Amino acid sequence: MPLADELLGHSRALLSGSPAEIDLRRAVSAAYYALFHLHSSAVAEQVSPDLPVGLRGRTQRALDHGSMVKVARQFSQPGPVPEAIPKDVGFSGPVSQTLANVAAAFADLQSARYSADYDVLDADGKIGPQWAVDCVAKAEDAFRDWRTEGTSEGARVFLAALIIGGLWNKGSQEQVPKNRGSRINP
Amino acid sequence: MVLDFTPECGDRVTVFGYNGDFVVKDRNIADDGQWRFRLASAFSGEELDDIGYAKLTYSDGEKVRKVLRQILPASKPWPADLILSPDTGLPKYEIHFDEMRDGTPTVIVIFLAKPETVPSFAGASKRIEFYNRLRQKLLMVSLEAWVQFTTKEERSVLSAAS
Repeated sequence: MPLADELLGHSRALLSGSPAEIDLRRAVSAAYYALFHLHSSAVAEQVSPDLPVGLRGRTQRALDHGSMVKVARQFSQPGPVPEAIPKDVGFSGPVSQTLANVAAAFADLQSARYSADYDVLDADGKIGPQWAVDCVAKAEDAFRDWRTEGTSEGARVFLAALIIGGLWNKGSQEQVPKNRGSRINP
Repeated sequence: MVLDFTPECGDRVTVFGYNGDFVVKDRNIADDGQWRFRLASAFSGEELDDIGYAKLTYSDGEKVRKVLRQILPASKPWPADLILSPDTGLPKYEIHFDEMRDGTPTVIVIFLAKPETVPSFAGASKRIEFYNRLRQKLLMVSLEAWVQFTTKEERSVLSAAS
């Protein structure tokens, strides 16, 4: 069974019965990593051949969580192609609602994973069974959506973006303005 | 979606030239007929007085709060396991603020589940569908922050019950 599916099953199993807080936290963390591995293995499959045998694994390891979440946020709105994607890629869009939901789930779950693993104080008081079930269900929904969306053109561009990160325009004349998409603070 | 910009006491705003959110403590109309505000930093408590209307804008959290007030009534069906506010009749929620690891500001909208709600994946899926609908409607407002929706138990109720 692929690691992504195992992690998803593990996250659900941790919530069975009367889970302790540590189980809730680990379930959320596993749910994020399930989605991370779902995408990272899809990226590796898309960009690397299956031989030599270690190439895909190394490709997965090259992915960076911080870059991935930025891409996920860019794809989290259905509609026009994110500005970061150069026109010469040839993807005219739109980003589908399904792909946007998958991308938003990735961003949400990464943030939740940091809360699960590092937020000891839980000042928001959110770490509890409902939050954990929400997170695992979100990962399950994203897996389901990815099964229908994973071969679309938009999904291929999304996967490429996950590994290319901010380097789409490296060496190109076309540059993304530094402040595009973000407010300039006074 | 256009938000009427009239900061009221208790609203969270940002102030040109200052970092972080401020809470409106008081407001009055000065001799020149313009609004003046007394503000307190949401983090340090530092007070600013006699701040003009033009220097203020709503914080992202305040925008989310005001937009939710507008879009929630039109976002039925609401998940049955959410507590409704006795004041507004709308699903009850809290707004919290955080930062992602890369520094992206995050507004976390946490809806409160009824104390008797047994956590279930079926219930969570309905909530996620509802949250996705809210997220789409929020796209109509310009926000710098990432907005997350989630659910929690109302702790005080749980404590009282135990």
